[in-house]
Amino acid sequence: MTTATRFENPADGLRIQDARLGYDGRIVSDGLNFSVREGEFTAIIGPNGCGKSTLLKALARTLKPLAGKVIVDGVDVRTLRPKAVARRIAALPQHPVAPESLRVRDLVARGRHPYHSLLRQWHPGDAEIVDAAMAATGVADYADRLLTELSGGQRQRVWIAMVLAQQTDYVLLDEPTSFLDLAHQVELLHLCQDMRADGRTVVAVLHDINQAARYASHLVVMHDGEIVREGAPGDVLDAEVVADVFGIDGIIERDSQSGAPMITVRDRRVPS
Amino acid sequence: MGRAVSTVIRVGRLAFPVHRPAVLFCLVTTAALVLVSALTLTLGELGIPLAEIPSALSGGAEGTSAFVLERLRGPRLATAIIAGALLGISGALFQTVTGNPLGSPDVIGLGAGAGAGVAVISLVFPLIPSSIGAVLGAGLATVLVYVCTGRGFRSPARTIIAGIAVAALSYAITQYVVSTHLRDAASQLAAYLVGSLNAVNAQDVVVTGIALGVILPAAIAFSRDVSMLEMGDDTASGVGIDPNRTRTIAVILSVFAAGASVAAAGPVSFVALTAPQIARRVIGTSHVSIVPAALTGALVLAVADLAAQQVPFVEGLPVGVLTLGVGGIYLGYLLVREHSKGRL
Ligand SMILES: Nc1ncnc2c1ncn2[C@@H]1O[C@H](COP(=O)(O)OP(=O)(O)OP(=O)(O)O)[C@@H](O)[C@H]1O
Ligand SMILES: [Mg+2]
Repeated sequence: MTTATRFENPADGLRIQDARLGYDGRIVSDGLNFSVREGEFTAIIGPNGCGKSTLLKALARTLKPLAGKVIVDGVDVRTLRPKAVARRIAALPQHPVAPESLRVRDLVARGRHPYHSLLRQWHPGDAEIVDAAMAATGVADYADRLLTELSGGQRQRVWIAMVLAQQTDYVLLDEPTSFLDLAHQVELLHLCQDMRADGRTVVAVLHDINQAARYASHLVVMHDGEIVREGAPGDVLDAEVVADVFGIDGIIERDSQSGAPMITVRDRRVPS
Repeated sequence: MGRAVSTVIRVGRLAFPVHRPAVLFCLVTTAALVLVSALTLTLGELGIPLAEIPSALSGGAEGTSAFVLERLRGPRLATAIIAGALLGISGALFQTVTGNPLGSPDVIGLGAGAGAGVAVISLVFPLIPSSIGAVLGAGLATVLVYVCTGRGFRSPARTIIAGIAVAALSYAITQYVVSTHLRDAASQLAAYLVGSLNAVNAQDVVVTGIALGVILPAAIAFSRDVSMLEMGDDTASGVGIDPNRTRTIAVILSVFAAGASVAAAGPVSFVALTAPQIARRVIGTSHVSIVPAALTGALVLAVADLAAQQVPFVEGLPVGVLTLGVGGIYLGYLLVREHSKGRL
């Protein structure tokens, strides 16, 4: 396994510098600065349309910044070859497209693509890596089924397996828990924690604030294209940010096991 | 990779995973191709006797057999196989780039454009080789379709409508050029312009053969990257693909393949549409299957040309008329199917 060995020097990490991000004629974020915390499991939270996916796409080199740059290991990612970036950063978009008549194992094997060349499209170790990735996400049982025959949640775990097979130091996941039932959501969040324990850096967009606070080690709150707060979950979440960013009238309590902050939406029938 | 359906072919340091069903498919189509070739050379009044074929192929033929092999049926068969293979490759690449079986070079007017290019070049600038006209015409038609849809090749419905317009425009140009120029040259062109192998010669074999020799390996090496585009641009770039660059290279290869084929055989319809689909359906894989598509294209065109030479009623017709008839039915089927899936 390739693991991150660069915790010491922050200049070596993955960061966005003075970036303007957006799509033709529509600017989502401007003057954005963000450094991915090495060795942490970061959760990005924020309301729909606030620019979480946009930020993640910029980090993954998929979206070209309109101004500013994204820097990995001290160099602008746009100057690197796509495959070189894909050996450092794996990214799962919010809406991957499942190709027709593709089998699970073959999709997961596509995670090895960054290590291949035009004339060498397979390596001896690939099969084990692919098997390990399928085992870790619990999809080994349907390795030979067609992707289009799987349920939404099963499919989601196959995509994660593909990202795992990429064996990168950085793993960026856009809403990896959507479509999953609660048990599999928890399993996936554990997987993210395991990846962190392995020395990888994980950044995931999550919609469930409580899950984000409970499982992530670092929390980033976005609103209208800006990062409004960042830090340890216990320091970041309070009634004010929940009201301002999400427009929720909530009470902050403590998770009885982990002590992580937990939001309970105030019942509108109970007068405060 | 793994136990399922893949095997890795290794040559020295090179390594390619292949699907076993694809290998089987290739063996069967190759055998069929050999059979059709034997029939093409031996059937009918001028057929070379079967016993003479081995010696004829090794250059030992004399008299009628030599004439039939070297001038009459040999070049024609070789061109059918090579041009069919080129069309299969062109279709496989283009259908993947557009993400739709209907996004084929023949549907979107690439063949018609190549035909117009040949008409203009061969009648107006006779000194320039017609294959250059074919590639230019195909390229221009592709650019026109790309621009007319307003959003590249991503929308199948827009691509098809723009393709119909570009094809109509190409036919208009062709008709204009043909009707305003010398009648004997024009009448020869008329048969060519529906796609015909009646007038091919050894030079056509050489030109298309070189094109196939260059395009086939390039397409094979490149097909993995092209396959990745099916997961969506974001996912593809996540595993190290540059989606725009990949699409551009695939379209260029596709245009050259279609152009080279049209230069020799004329705009034969629907081989590029059907060959990759047949291959894909039979094999049941999502990877872009370049070699199976090429072999299927070769087989389809060789069979159509055999029919055009031997089957009563259709005998003597340009081969393009046959593929047009059969392929048109398949196109209708695809339109209905894609429509019912809500993808149009
Ligand atoms: N491809 C696109 N073209 C144009 N605008 C886009 C595109 N993708 C997103 N946007 C716009 O950019 C803004 C930010 O979108 P983004 O996808 O980053 O939001 P998000 O925070 O991920 O939201 P969600 O929680 O709904 O996934 C939105 O207003 C959206 O309308
Ligand atoms: Mg999003």
